[in-house]
Amino acid sequence: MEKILRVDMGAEGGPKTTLVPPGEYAGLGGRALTSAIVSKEVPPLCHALGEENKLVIAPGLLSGTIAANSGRLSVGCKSPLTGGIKESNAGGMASQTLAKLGYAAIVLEGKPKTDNLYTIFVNKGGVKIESDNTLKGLGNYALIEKLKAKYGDKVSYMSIGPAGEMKLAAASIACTDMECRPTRHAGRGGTGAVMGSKGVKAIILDDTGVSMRPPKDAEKFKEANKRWVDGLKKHPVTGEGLAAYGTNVLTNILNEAGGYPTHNFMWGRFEGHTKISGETEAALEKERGGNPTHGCHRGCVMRCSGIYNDKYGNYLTKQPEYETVWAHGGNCGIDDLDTIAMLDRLDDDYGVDTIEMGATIGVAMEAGLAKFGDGEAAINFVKQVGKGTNLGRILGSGAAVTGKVFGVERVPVVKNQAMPAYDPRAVQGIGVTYATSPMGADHTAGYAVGSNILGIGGKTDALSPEGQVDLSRNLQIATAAVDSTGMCLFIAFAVLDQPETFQALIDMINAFYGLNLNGDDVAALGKSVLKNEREFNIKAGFTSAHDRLPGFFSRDALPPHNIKFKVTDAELDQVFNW
Amino acid sequence: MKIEFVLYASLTQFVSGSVAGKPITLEIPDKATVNHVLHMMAIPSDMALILLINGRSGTKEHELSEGDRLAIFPPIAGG
Repeated sequence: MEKILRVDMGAEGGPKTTLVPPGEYAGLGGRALTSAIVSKEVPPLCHALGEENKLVIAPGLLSGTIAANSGRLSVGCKSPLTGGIKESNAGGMASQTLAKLGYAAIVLEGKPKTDNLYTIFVNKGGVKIESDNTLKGLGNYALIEKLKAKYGDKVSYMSIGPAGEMKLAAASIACTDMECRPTRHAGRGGTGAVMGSKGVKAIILDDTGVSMRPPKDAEKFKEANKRWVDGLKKHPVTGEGLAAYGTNVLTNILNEAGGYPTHNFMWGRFEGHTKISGETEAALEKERGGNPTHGCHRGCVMRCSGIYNDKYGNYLTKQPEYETVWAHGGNCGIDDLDTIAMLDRLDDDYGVDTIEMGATIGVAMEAGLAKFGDGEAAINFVKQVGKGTNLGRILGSGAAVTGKVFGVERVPVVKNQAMPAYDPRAVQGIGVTYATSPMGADHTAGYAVGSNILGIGGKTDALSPEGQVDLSRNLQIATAAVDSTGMCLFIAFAVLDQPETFQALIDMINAFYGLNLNGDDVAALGKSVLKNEREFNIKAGFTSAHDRLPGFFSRDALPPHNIKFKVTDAELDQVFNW
Repeated sequence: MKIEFVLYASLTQFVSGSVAGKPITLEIPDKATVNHVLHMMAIPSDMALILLINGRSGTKEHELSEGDRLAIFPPIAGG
């Protein structure tokens, strides 16, 4: 990945491309690269939708290679949702394709001087940017169908739906999957709004005639990858559990543990949990000719994604993930999988983050705009976002804005970003991550659920504040490093439990780049990423007061354990003290 | 004494007729441990099972009490 493509969307006479070597960013990939560029080049106090913000799209260090599960993409910018730095991580085919084409990153800069919408086409021959206003207002599914007529289905697409064009703070960027459907999203933090602000509707990546990236030491790399695949296949979670039921297997366990946020974080258990569980979802998919065992990108051996068909056996959407099923399910009191799948389809089509959207609907229901459990109302809410009605634009701006507009106190956000599917009172470790991650409330930033609930990477008491700060700190450091490799975060389940699998990952990086890194170097990389991100946020006006959960988590006890969030402010302030 | 017993995910294969998430009542000896129940129900105890007793993380050595709810999961994760 020897070059960075910079596209000035605000240049006189239309978008202008520049190809530059990585320079000071050489050796960085994924989140390390997006956060380095954003923290160095974007003024922290700028408007997220203004000309000074940049959208950075970067494959990971091992993307575009034969390394298993190396196809995750990082998308970075100043977030219009949080006002802080953002790295949103997506599966799909874009990362592998972009890396194979030799790009360390695409950076969208400036602000268009017209209302034109553009497509950016990249192949081995170069870059072509075209204005195409016939694409305006198209949902991601219709858009990709239209683009396929021109570019075919052997390329990768990144795109925004109407929500991104409207520059709504919950807008996502869709990446097409192996079936060329727009199902894998850089969902969190409003990256789609930033792409919309740059006037870019779609990026088309065509790797025709391009080979896999060659390692420095091919033999060592191949051998390390074999150990890597063996390690992933050997671990019961990455080898079997994820493939059988997908991520939604968590519904029952979080519910049983009393940490399943229900009715906008009112309770920790949901009566209808078995109706929407991973077990039920997988069985339904099989029954209807879908598929519960499917990789979101080429080279995935864990295969936790899937295909969800409607009751007539026709494709409806990808298998809704645990977070999506929760956000639109228990969080809104909805216990019908077809309703949840339709909401997932609409979210993907309009291009909004499923977590933010579900949490927002929960807040809207709390405000009395609809009753909890009303699936039709939930579908109507999302359709209003797609249409851009006044209410839709409020909802599409996320849970925090919706809570303010409708006078709701119980709004589950940190740094204005909605919490995912674990109540921090019953899973105290994830509460520390929610509070302190530079990203806002984000379970992937330091997945303490593994140790708190699942017994992975050690065991900590989910209901006690004891040890949670150390746990979250270590996980946030490790995650920042993993997010820089292009590896799917789920590899952590095997890496945390099997030292030899962690070593195989390091050996792959060393063999590929001709390096001699060890575990300490990986930790140092993670710390440097977090340091860049923290410094950006501090300059953007964030203080320790922003590293807190909303007050109701410390005030209101959560049934069934009747427990409050007990990690103190002083302890939270120690997370980044290493 | 009686306890509530519930299996999830692939563990239902070990108990004929069991349904994921549907609890059954078990009659077990006083002071029986989780290990005792695993043996009684022919669930392989060498698996890295996730054990929740009344919603709290437990161990195989945990001594059960009258009315407890024991939920057992195979090694799983997601997110």
